[in-house]
Amino acid sequence: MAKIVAVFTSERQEVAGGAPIFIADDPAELQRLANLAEKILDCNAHQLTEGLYIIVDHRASE
Amino acid sequence: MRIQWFVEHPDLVGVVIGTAFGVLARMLMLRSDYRQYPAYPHGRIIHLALGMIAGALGSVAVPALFNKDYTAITFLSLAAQQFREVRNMERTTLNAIDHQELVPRGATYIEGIAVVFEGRNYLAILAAFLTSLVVTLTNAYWGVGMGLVCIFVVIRFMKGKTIREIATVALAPVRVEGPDVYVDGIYIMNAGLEEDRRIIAEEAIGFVLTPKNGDSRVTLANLGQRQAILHDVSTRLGVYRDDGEPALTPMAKLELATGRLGVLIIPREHDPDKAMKAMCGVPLLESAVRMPTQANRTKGGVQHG
Repeated sequence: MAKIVAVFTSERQEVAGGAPIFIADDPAELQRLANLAEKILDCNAHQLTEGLYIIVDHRASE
Repeated sequence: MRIQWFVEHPDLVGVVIGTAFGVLARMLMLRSDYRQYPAYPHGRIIHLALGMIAGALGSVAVPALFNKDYTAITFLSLAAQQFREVRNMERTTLNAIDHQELVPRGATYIEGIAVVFEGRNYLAILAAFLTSLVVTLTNAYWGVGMGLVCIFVVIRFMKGKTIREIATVALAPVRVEGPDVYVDGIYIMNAGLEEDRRIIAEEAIGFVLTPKNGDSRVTLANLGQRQAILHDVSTRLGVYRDDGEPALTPMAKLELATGRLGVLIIPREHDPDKAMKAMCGVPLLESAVRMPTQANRTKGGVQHG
């Protein structure tokens, strides 16, 4: 099973839980952070809603 | 005088001609798998040397049997042991390399390649044995004829099936809708980053593989076969990605309702014609082939082995 390693959002009240959560104010900043996280962690960035990204490690199951 | 010498040593002539055809068979078979095996000169030498051993074993067996030296046949079992080792060696090597590939081959493909390497050594033994047998029974000319027949059969035998035989391959448009990527309506993945979406929209090539019947539908669904498709096409066209770019990994997803397979490739060389050729030439993996229609047709109890 894949694993969520980080959450990036601009809507603080939308998220909670075990993975590290990063808050950004505007969509551009959110994109920039998600981009950085993808490169640093070598994990996929997926966009769930306009203001919510999850960074997923698809190799966690191997 | 020299011809006289050959006549006096028919066993030796049989062994030499048999071995020669065994090695030749192995050589021809080695050339064909340029994509399966990295063209390292040393890798080739290993397999040519083993092919020579295979040829020698096969051809020596005939005079040994004619001289009523039946224990010599046990050497063949030694050879079988040896070639199982070849299979292990190939498996280990390819597994080790696979971790460093941008698009891995996958375990099924590796297993398939390893089996092929073992099987081809047996074919070399067989070619050498038959050639040597005919030389011993008749003469060198008929032996050479038999050798040529063997080579022809071996070449015929080694051509495996390709994807084209089980599915119709068609190019399909790639659609990026927000974060979602589709190939001809088949959902492939969610690409979160704008940059990745742009690259996918500009560079990606989409394919749809439609299975020709129920059996091929199950074969196409096999994850190992899918990984082999991605690896082979990526090898031939290059990949537009690097470490740390997981979103640009080529992917294949099934449309569950119809069994169609959507394939997304992001090649270095954006040439749909070449991509089509590469896709059609992907080998069908022996261990991925399923035949549920035949399995269900079996009468009586299930027989194993």
